[in-house]
Order: sequence, then structure tokens, then C-alpha cells
Amino acid sequence: MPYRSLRDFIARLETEGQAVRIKETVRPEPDIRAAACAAARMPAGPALLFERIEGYGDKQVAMNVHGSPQNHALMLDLPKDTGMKAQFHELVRRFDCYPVHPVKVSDAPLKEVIVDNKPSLYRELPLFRVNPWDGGFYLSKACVISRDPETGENQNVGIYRLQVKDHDRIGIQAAAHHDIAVHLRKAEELNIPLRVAIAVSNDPVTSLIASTPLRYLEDEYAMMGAIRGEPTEVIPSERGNLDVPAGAELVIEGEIIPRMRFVEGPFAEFTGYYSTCMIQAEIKVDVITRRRGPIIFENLYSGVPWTEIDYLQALNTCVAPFKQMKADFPEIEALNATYCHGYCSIISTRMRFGGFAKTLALRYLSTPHGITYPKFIIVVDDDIDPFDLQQVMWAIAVRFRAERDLVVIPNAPGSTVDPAHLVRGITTKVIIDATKPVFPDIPLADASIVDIPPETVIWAEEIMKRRKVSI
Amino acid sequence: MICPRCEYDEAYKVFEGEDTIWEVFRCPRCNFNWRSTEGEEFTSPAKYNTRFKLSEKQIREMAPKPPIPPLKV
Ligand SMILES: [Zn+2]
Repeated sequence: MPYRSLRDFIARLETEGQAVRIKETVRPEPDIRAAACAAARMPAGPALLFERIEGYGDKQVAMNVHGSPQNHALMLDLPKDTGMKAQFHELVRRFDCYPVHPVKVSDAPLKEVIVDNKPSLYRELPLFRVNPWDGGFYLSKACVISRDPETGENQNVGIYRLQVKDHDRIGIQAAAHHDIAVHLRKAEELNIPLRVAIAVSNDPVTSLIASTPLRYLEDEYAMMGAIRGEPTEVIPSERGNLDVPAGAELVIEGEIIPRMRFVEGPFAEFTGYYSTCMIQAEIKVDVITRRRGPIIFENLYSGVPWTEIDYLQALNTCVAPFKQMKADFPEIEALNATYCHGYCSIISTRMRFGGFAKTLALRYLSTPHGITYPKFIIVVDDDIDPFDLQQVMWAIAVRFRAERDLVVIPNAPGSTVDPAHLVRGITTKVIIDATKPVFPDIPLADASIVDIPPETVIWAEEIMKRRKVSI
Repeated sequence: MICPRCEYDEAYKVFEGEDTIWEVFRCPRCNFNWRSTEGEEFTSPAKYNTRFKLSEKQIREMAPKPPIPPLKV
């Protein structure tokens, strides 16, 4: 059953042992960040629900909601022990169900309270500093909805970092390659404000697709429907012509002030480093709608990997470039672009002929995501699960011949937030071909791989059974 | 109130928690927000991490992100 709200999903996580309630009073800083960091770093890390935050009355905070392979699987309504490769293939399958268009509803809990007289973000949300040297209190997991201001079409839903700066002011990072930057550019060319709605605390698929790099004309709501297996529900915003997710806890509405930039940042990014301070666009808030209390504020901790962002913005990042490559080269089996948003990526493939691994790596570098983000690409055969690093390292250990299989491409486009840049936006790409050489290449001298005994699977089950009894 | 980060002297209180258990301040120049309970390394201009301090000059020289496009006529 698809989840209609964050609350629905937390209830499911609790029945599966994947959510923990913290009933004691915690401090906004540093307790929430420390607990969220701990949850993300442990195996099968649970979501955390903080029921009492010092000074914030009955307002609650949810963290690490997507923060483990188990929670990611449950989001997709799969058994919680489903492996990453299987989840990847399931996600690919559901992407092909696109579009499943959203349905409009006329009533939702998020319209229970409408604050349009001097709305205050400090009053409505239990804000806290995510990382110590962040420039302020960030909304790090809220979904921003906007439309092309010229045509009123191409509605976009995306997660961008949002810095609360005042009662009714929010800084927004609209990087040039983000869809909202296209809307903002058009509005600023016309010198008109860009209307936005910010949905806080959503069902898990809404956040997943809002953080997926879809094409500009693709409709996030129709993709959410495809992933959920039924249409997602939306409700009109109070002002402007935007559709907001009906399951949200709270929606902030306002407009981006045209042609003005204000100090924003720093913010601890997915790279595990702080980004620099810049002057960025700002939203003037004019109305907040929300559920009657107590509100749950969902936010995201990002820091040195692995944190929740490495689960949320992970398999969804792999799917789009995988499908683009698959269309040209059906031999590709899977793509693991989960390391720092794909900075390091692993492709598994069947080999069409000798040298084919290089073809695939270069094709990856020409996908929209691949142009900038990946800088270290490993290609392995289809007998290797690219989501299993033990297998990947084995392939490199025994199949990689540096004199033939190492490719270095200097002076190539790179991610602008890569801390290792010499020139911001420029990087060196490395390809490691760890596939078995095939004709007409020279085969490996020792080409006979040891078989895994076929009875291993049966024995593994037997051993596990006995182990459970003894525990 | 002096901003711990850029040392602008017109920072002010914007909000307080239940029973005034803490207060939140903001700097109108660098937009820094801080809570009174975060500890001296966040609230004191003398103790704020020098790597993250901001000067007026740095603020003046910051590049706009995204760039502001020319007006369409
Ligand atoms: Zn300041």
C-alpha cells in the first residue's frame, strides 16, 4: 500500500522495527544532529522521531526517515531485507510506468490552519542547526514547487537547500543546472517574482522523486505516481497556481524576490564538506498552511558519508543515466552511482567485444548526470554486483591491467561542489576497466574462475537457521 | 547585539522558546541566525571559528548564485 503521508510511513517503519521514538526532551542543538548522524551510520539505521524538543512545545522532529537500505526498501513496499541491486532494478521497472498523473483533491489536513497574517517560520517549525558551522537553520528536505512563469506550464518539484533567515525570509540555492533556476531566470528576465510553495514533511516517495534528476519536461508528480503504483494526491496552493502534495504536514508559500541576492550559507553538503558562502536568491513568505498540531518537522542530516542523503539521493540518481545508457547499449546490467552523488560510480555490463567497457564509461560521461558528477568510474562484468564492494574490489584486484585499462581524461567538466577541484567546475575523469578482456583483446593468462559450490545456498540457509536457534 | 560571525553591531533578537528557555538572534547583514544556548563558540564574536568568520569585504565581493540575467525588453 502506498503511503499517503509521512505519518503513514512512520507507522509502517515502527511496525518493522525501523523507527525509534525519543520521548525525553532533547536540545535543538546538538542533540538532533548527533542522534541523526548516529542513526545513519549504524547498520539498518532507523528513522528517529523526537517527541519533545526544548522550547518548542509539542512540535516534533523526524530524522533519518530514508536513512538505511531497509527504510528505502519499505518506502518501495518491498521486504525490508531487499538488496540494493534488487531495489535498483525494481526502481527501473517502476520508472517505465511513467506517467501516472496526480489527482487533485479539495481538502487535506495541511489546510486545517491557514496563517496569512505575519507568518513566522520560527513560530511554526521546530528549527535547529543541522551542522555546527551552517549559516543558520536549514530546511534540508523540503520540496519546492514552481512553474515556468512565462507559460504557466512545466511544474517542477525539487529539493533545494533552504536557509531560514527571518520570520518570513528563506534563502534558496538555485544552482544553474537545477530546474528551478530555469524558472527563476525567466522570471528575472521579466523582473517579476517567482511564485513558490515549499512542502515540508512528505510521504517518502515525494522526497525521493523531488531529489531525482528528471528531465526538465518530465513531471515529478506523474513519476511519483509511477513509483507509488497509484496516483499521488495534490491540492491547490492558497495563492498562485501551484499543486502541493496533499499529504504534507505544512506548506510555506511565497515568492522569490526578482534580481536580488543575499548572503547564504555555508551549509554542510553531501560531499561531507561545507560549501562556501555566496549571495543567493531569497523567498518572501506570505502564507503558511498546516495541520493542526502537533506538527512533525522532517529534516535531513548531511555530513561525512554515510548519512541519510546517501540513501535518499542514491538509487534514484542511478536510474536516469542507466536508462539512457541502456537505450544505446542493452548490455549494461546495473549502475551504482551512490558514492557522493556519483563522483565514484560502478557500471556492470556484459561485453560486446574487447574494449567495450571504455565505450560504456564514455557513454556514461555523456549522460546529463554524467557530464559533471562522475570523476572515478569503474566498469565490471555482469558476474559482479556493482552494489557489493567486496566483489568490485575483487574484480579490480584480478582483472585490471593498468597499462591497458586505466584511462585519464584531464580538464573535463566537474561538480562545482567537489572539494578536490583545482578550478571550480573542472575535474579529471578516471576510468578503471576491471572487466575480463574478451576477443579481440588478449585474454587473461589464468582464465579459469573457481566455482562457488552450488550447495552453498542451501548450506547458507541451514547455517542461518541454526544460528537463530542458538541466539 | 554583535553578530558572532561578521561582527555587525545591529543584530537583534527575533524569537524565543517557551518560557524563554532560549532566544534566537539574527544578523541583518550576513543573515547568520544563532540560538543563545548553542555555546560560546557560536554566540561569542571573539570565540567564533575564524575559518567561518565573514568580513564586510568578503560579503561585498561574493558572487551571485545564480547570476542575474539581463532584463528582457
Ligand atoms: Zn553577521
